[in-house]
Amino acid sequence: MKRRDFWVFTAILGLVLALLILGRALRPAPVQNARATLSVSLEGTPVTGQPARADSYLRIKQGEAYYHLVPLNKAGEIVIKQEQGWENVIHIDKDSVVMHSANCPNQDCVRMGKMTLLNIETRVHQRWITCLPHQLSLELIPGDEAQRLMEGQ
Amino acid sequence: MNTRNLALSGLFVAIMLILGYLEKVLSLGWGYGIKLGLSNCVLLLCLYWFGVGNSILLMLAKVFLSSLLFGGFNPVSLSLSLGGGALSMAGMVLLVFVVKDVSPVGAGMVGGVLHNVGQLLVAILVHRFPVLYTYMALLVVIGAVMGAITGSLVLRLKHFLPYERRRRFGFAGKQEEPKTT
Repeated sequence: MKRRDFWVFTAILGLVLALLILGRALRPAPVQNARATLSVSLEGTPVTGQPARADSYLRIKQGEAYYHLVPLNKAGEIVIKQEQGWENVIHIDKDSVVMHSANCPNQDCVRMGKMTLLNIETRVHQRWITCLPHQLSLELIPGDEAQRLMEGQ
Repeated sequence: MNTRNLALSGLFVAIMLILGYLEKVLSLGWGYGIKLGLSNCVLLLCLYWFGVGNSILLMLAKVFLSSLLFGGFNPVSLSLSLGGGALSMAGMVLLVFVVKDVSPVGAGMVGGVLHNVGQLLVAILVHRFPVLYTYMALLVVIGAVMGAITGSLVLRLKHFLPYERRRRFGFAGKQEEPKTT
């Protein structure tokens, strides 16, 4: 252990503290004015810009493209296929989302577990489930915020 | 580069690939992208052994080969590994060759932290992923802990370094010091 190692510890500790404070201060908010161009299909019917009322909604983003909000009011399965052969299977239920399976190499998204309206405050990944290799992210948006988003569009 | 160093470099790349694969198989991920980063320990040792240029080449070889062999050559994962590897290497080079007077544990910690920071920066800036400060804090802590572990391993392995390298970095023991008249 040498003298300057102490600086290293201090710098890392400072960085952690700064990030924790930032994380407390800045509440996650959905990206505004993101035009949805894609839509998923639930039980054979596409989800469009006027979804059913629900306490929470799922917003899927693939690369730079956004999907129309999916109301989380009943159980269902969403399959996102991409032309590279990438496939993600998302299971939704009332106010909850889970990445059921993915054919990505690291499987981190599957291990991120179930995201619900109740646990997004305490999850490490907050309101997101991300599949980095497939450039896919799932965002759970509470009903009131979602309403504001839909009015803005 | 002499033949001996060339052979050693090949050996080190092979060791890094095997360590990386083992970590993947043991699946120390838990969905948070947490990894022991044992190959970082090999890279840090290389930095002391061969210097900057060769170590950067080894890092690139590791990143590309491991993506090709185990990652399906996924472009996103590759860019993340590259970002993490490059920033981590830059940090360790800075500490070992510019700042100096830092032990392998300190250098390993910075390497571990910067590896995670580099990956996150690429994910956020290039792939536009959400900014999660709490997750970043967690990754920094994990990087520091894992880096301290890999750094301590280098501390244990440092006596394998050639004598002139040990002397250069102040690892040579007292009994080895040549007599000064």
